[in-house]
Amino acid sequence: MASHYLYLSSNPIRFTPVNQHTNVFFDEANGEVFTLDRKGGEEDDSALVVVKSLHGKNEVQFRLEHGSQIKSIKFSPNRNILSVLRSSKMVTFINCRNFNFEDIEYRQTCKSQRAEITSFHWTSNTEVVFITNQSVEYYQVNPDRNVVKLLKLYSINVNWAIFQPRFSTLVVSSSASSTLLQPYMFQNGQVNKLPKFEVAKSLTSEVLQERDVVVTVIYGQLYILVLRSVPRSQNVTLSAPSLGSVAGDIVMYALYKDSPARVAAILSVNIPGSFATHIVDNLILVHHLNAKVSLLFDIFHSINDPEQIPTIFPILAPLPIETTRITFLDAPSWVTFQPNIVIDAKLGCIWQMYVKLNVLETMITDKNQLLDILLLRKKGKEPIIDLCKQALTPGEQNTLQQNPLRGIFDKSSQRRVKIDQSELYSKVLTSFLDNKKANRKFLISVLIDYIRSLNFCRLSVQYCICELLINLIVENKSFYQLHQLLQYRILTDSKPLACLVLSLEKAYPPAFQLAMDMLKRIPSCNEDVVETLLSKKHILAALQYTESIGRGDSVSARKYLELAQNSGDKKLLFTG
Amino acid sequence: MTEKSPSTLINFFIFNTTLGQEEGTEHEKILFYYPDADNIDKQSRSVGLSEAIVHFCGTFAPDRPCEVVQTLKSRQVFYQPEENFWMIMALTNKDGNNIVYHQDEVQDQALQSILMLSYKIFRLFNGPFSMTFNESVDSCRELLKHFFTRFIKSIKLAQQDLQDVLQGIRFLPLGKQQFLKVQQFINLIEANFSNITYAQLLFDDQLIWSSLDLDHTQILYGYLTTNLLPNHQEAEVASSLDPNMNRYCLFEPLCTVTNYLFITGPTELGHAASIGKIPRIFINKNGKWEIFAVIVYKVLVDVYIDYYYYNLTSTIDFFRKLDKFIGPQIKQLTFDIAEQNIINRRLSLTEMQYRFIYFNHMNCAFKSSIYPKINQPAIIGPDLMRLFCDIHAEFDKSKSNEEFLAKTATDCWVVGKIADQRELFVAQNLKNGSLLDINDEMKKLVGSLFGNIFYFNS
Repeated sequence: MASHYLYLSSNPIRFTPVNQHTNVFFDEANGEVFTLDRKGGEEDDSALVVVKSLHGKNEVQFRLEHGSQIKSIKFSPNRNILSVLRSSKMVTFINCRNFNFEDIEYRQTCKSQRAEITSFHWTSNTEVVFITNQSVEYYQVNPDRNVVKLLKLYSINVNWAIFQPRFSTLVVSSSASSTLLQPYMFQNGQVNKLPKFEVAKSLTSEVLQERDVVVTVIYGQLYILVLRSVPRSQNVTLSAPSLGSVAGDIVMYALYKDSPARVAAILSVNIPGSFATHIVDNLILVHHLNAKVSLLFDIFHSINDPEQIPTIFPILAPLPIETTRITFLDAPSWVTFQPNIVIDAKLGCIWQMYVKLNVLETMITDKNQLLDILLLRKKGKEPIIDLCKQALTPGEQNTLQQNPLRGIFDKSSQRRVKIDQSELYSKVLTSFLDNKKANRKFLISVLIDYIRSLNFCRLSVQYCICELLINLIVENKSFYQLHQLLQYRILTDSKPLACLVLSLEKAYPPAFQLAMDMLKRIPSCNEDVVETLLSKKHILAALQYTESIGRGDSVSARKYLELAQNSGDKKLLFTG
Repeated sequence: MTEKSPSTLINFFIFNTTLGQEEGTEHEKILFYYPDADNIDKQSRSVGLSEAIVHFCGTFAPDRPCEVVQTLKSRQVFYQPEENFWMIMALTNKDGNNIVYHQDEVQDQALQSILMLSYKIFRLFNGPFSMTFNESVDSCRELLKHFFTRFIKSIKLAQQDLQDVLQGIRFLPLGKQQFLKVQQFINLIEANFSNITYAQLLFDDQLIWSSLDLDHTQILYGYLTTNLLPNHQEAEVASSLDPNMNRYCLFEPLCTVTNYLFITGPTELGHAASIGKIPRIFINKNGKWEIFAVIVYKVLVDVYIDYYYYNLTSTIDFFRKLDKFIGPQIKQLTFDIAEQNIINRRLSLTEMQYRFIYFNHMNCAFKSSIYPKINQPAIIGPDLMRLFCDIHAEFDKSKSNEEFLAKTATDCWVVGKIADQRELFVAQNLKNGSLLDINDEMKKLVGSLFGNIFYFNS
């Protein structure tokens, strides 16, 4: 039995650890880490900047003046503009084409007087938003003319702000207790100011901290997560009622463009002590700092009814993260970032967190639930194929109700895993054909159920699946059942299928009729109908059919007459 | 031709040629003889004559045994169901006390189908003749007497029509998705109850699915729709206060429906004693005759599921489990099917424009607009029906693709067509219509009703 379902990438990105000469900045939006090395001594304040990307972009190195003053540094998403925050009043921009920095710097000070810039974020390749303690300022940067233009300014008291790059959404906390949140969405120079709303209070403190709020996208929907932990000490009076469970919960708010945010779900954490979250492949991971275990949540199947706020429980029992050398969360210098990043600045490592899908199979006994989870994962295909294989293996305790093949397509609308019929055929189904132990009737039932789920999604049944089903039925000698299936046209008409059915005529004479019916339904198979009839010496019928489809003129009289003559039936010859 | 008193049965007997080989012991051949008022001499003579005819014909056509012997006053029909066994039925052609003989009033075919059907029903409930015969000839005689005495009483010579001759199966037209759901449901039952070997699903006397082979399906379908279910319905109507209430439920959302019940099996799930007598049938499974019990479970007025299962000593627990398993699942399924059925009824209005009978020999599919319901008499006159039957008999002899066109004295066109094992009979009133007109009408009908199947157009 596996004892971990989470693991960190085995090859972390390494950077120079933080020390008195080295500062490290991490840009969450682009997944880039900047190390600034000042080795020049007192006179030389220039720094060697090394940029490493989590997303496989090239490593970049360059020198920058006034290195010690830098408070924040990041690239525009296409890396054409480097932006640096040196003072709390202004952001400096440097154009960069093919990693050659231009000499000219241009700057933009914040508009609000006496305000201080706390952070800034790129919302597109040419648009940037400044967050000051008094305002949110939206600018357009023109690198060709080295000009920055103000697009929009909102005066607002800012406690803290969180930026979500995928939806270019900024969430600003503005009231005294920080629980009043104002979201903004930036798009093509326009700002959509969403309705502000009050979120649940923290369970222990009066003020909502920035680190207890996560803005994230799960299954394409924007959420604000409010993490509400409970201290480990026993005697704590909670300042707000816990919703999910006694010892900690996460309140999820769904954000909408045109309607107010609302509580979508409550995740029950229920372990005292503070925690952090990651989002991996739309699964919510909750890392418990003290207990050194993690929890796994999937909201997909719980959020259906907008009228109800579900309390969602973890999929699995809490387990620690599998680590290679260092125990995660042991080192105090570890910091987590969204969506799945762990940084140890003292060690100089960036890891990414992943979920081990292949161990879930041993941990989740309900195969339908397991399938539900796997179908929604990016890399769910392989475990699903394994699951299907196992479910058909004779000797395993397999029931028809629990068979994963049944439901693969039923929940198709949002599924992320696409398993092609031919893939399922070659990777799963064929291996059971040679296995004489495999119960044929069971396999037939499973296949028919699979076809049902295909049909439910209006997918036509591929020939390989039809062929397999027919072979199984023939092996089982259930010809009449095959007849009924074809009669109700469960299998998608095709020329190869018609030929296969035709080949069964010897064992089951009605197959001829079934095959002819099918050929007739396929518009391109007129010729085949005629040829089949001729091969059966139904010469008159072939002629009649040719005439009925309007091809009577193109008939080769000689061919028919010869055939009629060879048939030895004089009457037929002259009728023709 | 006006209605007249029907031909009457002269005799009906079954004999085995291996018995009574010695002279003077001919009567031993007889396994069953009706009427038993005939003395043993007469019985022996009848059997002897029949056997002689069989032998005589055999020398001319060894592959095709003797079928009918027609004389001025009587007709004799032969059927050899198993090797060495012969079933013979003789009728008089005499019309009451008049000395007028109607030789063509009842078709040979219809008579033969009576013999064949009687044998198949016997085999369904008792197994083949040879099975009991090989055990004990006396008990075989007992069994035949018990079965055929009752059967002969139920023969209605006058009412024979094409429906009886064909013994077709009415299939419920159903969408793919609904059909696959039915499949899923049946497969689940068969997988969950290991002693249930076969299942059939009927809706409104129409077959949706059968896991038996065609032969057994056909005969069981006939037994259920013409015997077991109508009898049950009569009993129910007699006992229930307002039978229309139930029927109405079918078209309502199924929230109030709780009336599932076992037609064979326990009448009350609480009482083990109410299981009662469960019919047993013989099914040929891979060449071996095996005994199965038939459980019929009724969901609504018109939905029946039948299960054929092994275990003959079933307990009330089994029925409870089965009820618990099926009950919740069948609810939605029934609703889906009923919904589609309403749509089908609307569609079938086009079918109602024509008076036709369609039959496919390959799957025994039967479709017709001239029978309001199964078991009910046709809405066309007996002369038209007789014409249908005659054409069908003609098709049966020639076995090739043919077409018949006939016009009756009442300006009605009758068309019979056989192509690729499918028969179609149409009656159409076409005043002053020519042969071309009726041909066009036929094309229209075939196009609208049978466009999806391969049917020789001409």
